[in-house]
Amino acid sequence: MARHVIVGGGTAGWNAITTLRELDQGDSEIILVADETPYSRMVLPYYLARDIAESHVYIASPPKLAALSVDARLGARAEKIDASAGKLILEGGDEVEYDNLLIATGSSAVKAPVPGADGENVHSFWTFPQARAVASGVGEGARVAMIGAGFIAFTILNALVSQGVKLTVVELESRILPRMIDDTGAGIVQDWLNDRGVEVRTSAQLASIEDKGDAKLLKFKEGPDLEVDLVIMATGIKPNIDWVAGSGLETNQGILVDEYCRTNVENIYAAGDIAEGPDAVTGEKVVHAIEPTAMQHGRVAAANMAGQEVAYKGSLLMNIVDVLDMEIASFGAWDDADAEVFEAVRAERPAYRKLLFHGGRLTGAIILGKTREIWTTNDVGMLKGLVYTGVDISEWKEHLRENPFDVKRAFLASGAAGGLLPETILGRPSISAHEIAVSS
Amino acid sequence: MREALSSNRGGAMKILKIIPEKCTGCMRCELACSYEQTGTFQPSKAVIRVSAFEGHTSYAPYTCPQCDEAWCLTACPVEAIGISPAGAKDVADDICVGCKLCTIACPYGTMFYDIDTHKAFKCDLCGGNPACASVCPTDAIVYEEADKTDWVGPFAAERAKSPAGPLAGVL
Repeated sequence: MARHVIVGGGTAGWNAITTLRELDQGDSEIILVADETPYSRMVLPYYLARDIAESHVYIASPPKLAALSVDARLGARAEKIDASAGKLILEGGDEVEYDNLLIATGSSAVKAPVPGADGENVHSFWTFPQARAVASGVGEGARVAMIGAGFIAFTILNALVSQGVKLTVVELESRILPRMIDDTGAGIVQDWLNDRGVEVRTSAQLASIEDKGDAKLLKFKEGPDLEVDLVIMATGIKPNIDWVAGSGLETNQGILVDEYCRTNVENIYAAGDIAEGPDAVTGEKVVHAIEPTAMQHGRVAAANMAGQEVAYKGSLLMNIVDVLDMEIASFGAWDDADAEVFEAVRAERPAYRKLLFHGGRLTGAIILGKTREIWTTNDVGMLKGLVYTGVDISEWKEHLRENPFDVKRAFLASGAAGGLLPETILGRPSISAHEIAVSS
Repeated sequence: MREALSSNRGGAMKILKIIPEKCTGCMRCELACSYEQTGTFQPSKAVIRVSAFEGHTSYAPYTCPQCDEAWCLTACPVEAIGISPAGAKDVADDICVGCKLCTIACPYGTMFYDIDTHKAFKCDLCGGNPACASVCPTDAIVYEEADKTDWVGPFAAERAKSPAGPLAGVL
């Protein structure tokens, strides 16, 4: 019986486990090495908003892991890999032999390197314990500084505002969401936030964080100081890659993988935030530290570990975030100076669309508008379908140049749906999570 | 359990077959859908949507094709989406947190978000008795065993090639 060893119990690791069991119904040994009980990072903002209980955050409780016949070594940490011997060495010296090894150790939050960053009431918001720390520090009237205005920061913005905090967002770059939308979009979002009582400081370089009684005093290279009760550092993440040094694995930003999620070392796979794999639009290898990529990597890696030879088209960069009832989403190569760009702003709504083309192919898109406007949330999937399939919509280009908002009929006429329907990533229909079980 | 499973594995399943040539654009399906799904006659809450082509002279209803990949189901970070006995991908409201990952994962544009409930919602085939098909007066929407196929695409593509071209309709 093959032994699959999975390091990391996040989205990639958990999807690999369920996929292995979907494919083999228990006919393999699975060992999970994870320093935490698996939980879903994606729902931490809803935990912070007190919409859901702690129990809702855990995707795989120990009983659930046991039911899938997973030997879960929770609390254990991998230290290094001895690939020639086919062994994973844990901190403390325990060794685990593997037939297939999946590395899914994710990424960690990085704090801005300023004095005081490790002080009290200065938290990252990435792990469940960090989310708990932030949750205990926010409440009605609390003054909160969010350092960094990227995707992670914006996923918790609603939760913070709903708790009645006085929020100031501080961004080093000249615009908010610098890796998710362009200047035009960022300007609309910034106005939207200002109108709703969220202060935004861009081009603001934090110099230090000092204590002032129970409060924190933020000093900047330029501009006035900022006094708050709590600081959240949303200043980026980096792959947890250091521990694989010396294992012979090829790395760049992450561990390089091919379309099978295989690394350069035999029987070792990597998935999720730590894997640098093919991009569905450009074909280049990139780290897409996003939930859908972690899920797909986990499934593709597992299928190949189970001996299925499943090639993957590549991951599509995509993000969606709701900021005080404004929906912001982007897909694919939305920041591409070589693309032909159609864009339109409807300032009074407000709404913004940007479509990026190479020839007849949509290669990227930005969509921004009120959540209440039905087409905002309705069109996102169609834009995803067009970018993901790369279907030729030459005939609709002039129409979309005139009106980038009217994407629905172009999608329906494109045949994208017909091309997608026979396609499944694993070569078989997906099933419900609760239908995945080991046969006794 | 295994039998239920096999019915979802490419075997015959009843789906919503759409024949756009028969559609008159009366929007009865949208009204019936929204009423069945949310208790209000409110097309903005419908999970089947009628599109106008050639200006306003021809129409095509479009809804979730219940695809085999189940992009919404696999994308959900809390396993809120399952497969119902009717074979429909279905959102469990008590588990969905409203993160909208399914709306960007679905490449068909048939995942929706309800701003009042803060939940994702989609076509669940009304539990095996879809209201849209029941009320369609011209049999443009029928509920029967058929292949999962792009019922609307060829019609829409052909309308785009008409002398009028892909005319702007609404919006």
